[in-house]
Amino acid sequence: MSLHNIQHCFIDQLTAKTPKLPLADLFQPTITLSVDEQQSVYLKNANGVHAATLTKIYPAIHHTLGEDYFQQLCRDYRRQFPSHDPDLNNYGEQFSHYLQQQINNRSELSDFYYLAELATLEWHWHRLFYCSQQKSFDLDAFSELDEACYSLLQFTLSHGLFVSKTKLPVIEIWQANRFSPAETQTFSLLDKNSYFAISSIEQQPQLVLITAADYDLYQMIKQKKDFLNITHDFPHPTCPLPDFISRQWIDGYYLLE
Amino acid sequence: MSSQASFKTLAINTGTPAGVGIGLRSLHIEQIINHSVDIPWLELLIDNHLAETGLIAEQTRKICQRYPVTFHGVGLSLGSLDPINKDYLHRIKQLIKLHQSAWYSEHLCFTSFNGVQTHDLLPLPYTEEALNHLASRIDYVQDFLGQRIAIENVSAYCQYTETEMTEAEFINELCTRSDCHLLLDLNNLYINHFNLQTSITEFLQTIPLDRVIEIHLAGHEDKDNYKLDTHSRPVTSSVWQIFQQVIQQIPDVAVLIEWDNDIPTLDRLLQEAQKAETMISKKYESGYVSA
Repeated sequence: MSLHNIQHCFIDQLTAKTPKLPLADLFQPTITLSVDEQQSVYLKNANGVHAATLTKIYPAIHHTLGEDYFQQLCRDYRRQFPSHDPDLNNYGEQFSHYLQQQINNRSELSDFYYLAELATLEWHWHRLFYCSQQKSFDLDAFSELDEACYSLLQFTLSHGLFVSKTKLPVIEIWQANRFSPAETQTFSLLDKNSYFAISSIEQQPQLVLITAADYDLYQMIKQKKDFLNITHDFPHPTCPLPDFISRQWIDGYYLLE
Repeated sequence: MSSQASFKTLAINTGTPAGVGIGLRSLHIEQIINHSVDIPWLELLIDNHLAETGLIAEQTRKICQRYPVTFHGVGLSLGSLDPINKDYLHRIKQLIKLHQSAWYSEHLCFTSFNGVQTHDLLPLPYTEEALNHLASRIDYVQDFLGQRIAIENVSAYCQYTETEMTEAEFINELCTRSDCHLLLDLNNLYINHFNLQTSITEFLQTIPLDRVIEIHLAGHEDKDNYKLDTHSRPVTSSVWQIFQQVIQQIPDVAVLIEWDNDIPTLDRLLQEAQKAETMISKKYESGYVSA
């Protein structure tokens, strides 16, 4: 068997739902391990390392669902979304999307409709550790800009900043479950949207509650509205732009050509 | 190219680790950074330190400022038929230069095929084809980095139908062809002895011990009919026995305690390192080692 076929067969055994290549062509039994047992060890190892990564990234989901069910989801997720990046820290981005699929398809998850949003929160918290550092906003240069430039000026958001709104009590659920499984608690749906931001402040990850004005400014910058648009069309009495700069949520700007 | 000619005169980076270090894991990073821990060197699992900026990059900078370090990788998939990930390798090169890692080690294995990553260290078949392939890949990596790398023997739970030589013969020939260093993992050696009935004596007599620059010690779990390389336990007595034998043959080699799962306190990890230090000291006191 060529090296190509050996590697193909081995990976097929570890990743395909129904491997096409026969295991007996690949391995021979040893005194202690049958061919099936050899494959089983590697399958457990591969599932284990992927599940351990998801457990680290998504502790609140893990604690909410319990060990056995979470492990089952991890195995299924690995089949559906195999890793293509040698950096394991990048694995698991689609877990929120996957959970939403499972919520839609599995009746036992119908009460856990908040899981996808909770997973999104946990993913962005995890990514804060790996995103680029904020640049300092050059306030002096900004203040010297001619007003004529404002229609050409767009701000850049700092890497890792994530802003969201929700009517689900995901922050409370996350806080209650992220370090250990929560005691039985009741969380109520919110009667209006709650807004929050995840960012790093002085090298420390933080989750802070924000206002609707903060959320709308974030969306306008994300949609690449220019400075003139923002000042004219901002739907609140006060624009929190200075706060964004002082919190380092905006780390720069550029002028459109 | 001929690596032998290129690397003969290249020394390992300055600050070569000596004594018994530990593999640094995230649980202990804050303690390592904020306190002056009495440890001669640290091995960083480089795949956890790839970030260029941000919180992780800042931690890496602080660690490397305070302690001599080596880099150990699991993501290069040296034995794979997939193309080498040049972005990944470029980042490794940047980090080696930036933090003056004494050396960089990887595994004698493949982890991916057709772009799918298993994140597990899968053994290669010990065939001439695999040998040619791996030697050429190590050549490429050493050329790219401008220095020798160290290759680690891996634990195995399978016996390929396609086998043309022993693991030790494969490693010996690999070293001759690619002029690389070796990282000798004694726990993996013991596991393969148990699981695959390989001979520890044949292994140690066959591999070029003068190329070993680092020894790994770790714990494993006893399963029903095999040993599993979990790095979740203290080093077992069987592995300590092999260690006592090996340090008589390779004096002054850097030794590392690896503990990756069910990670204990830093103090407990340092106790394990101290145990290895004591064995090395006793070896000298009893005059085992000849010049």
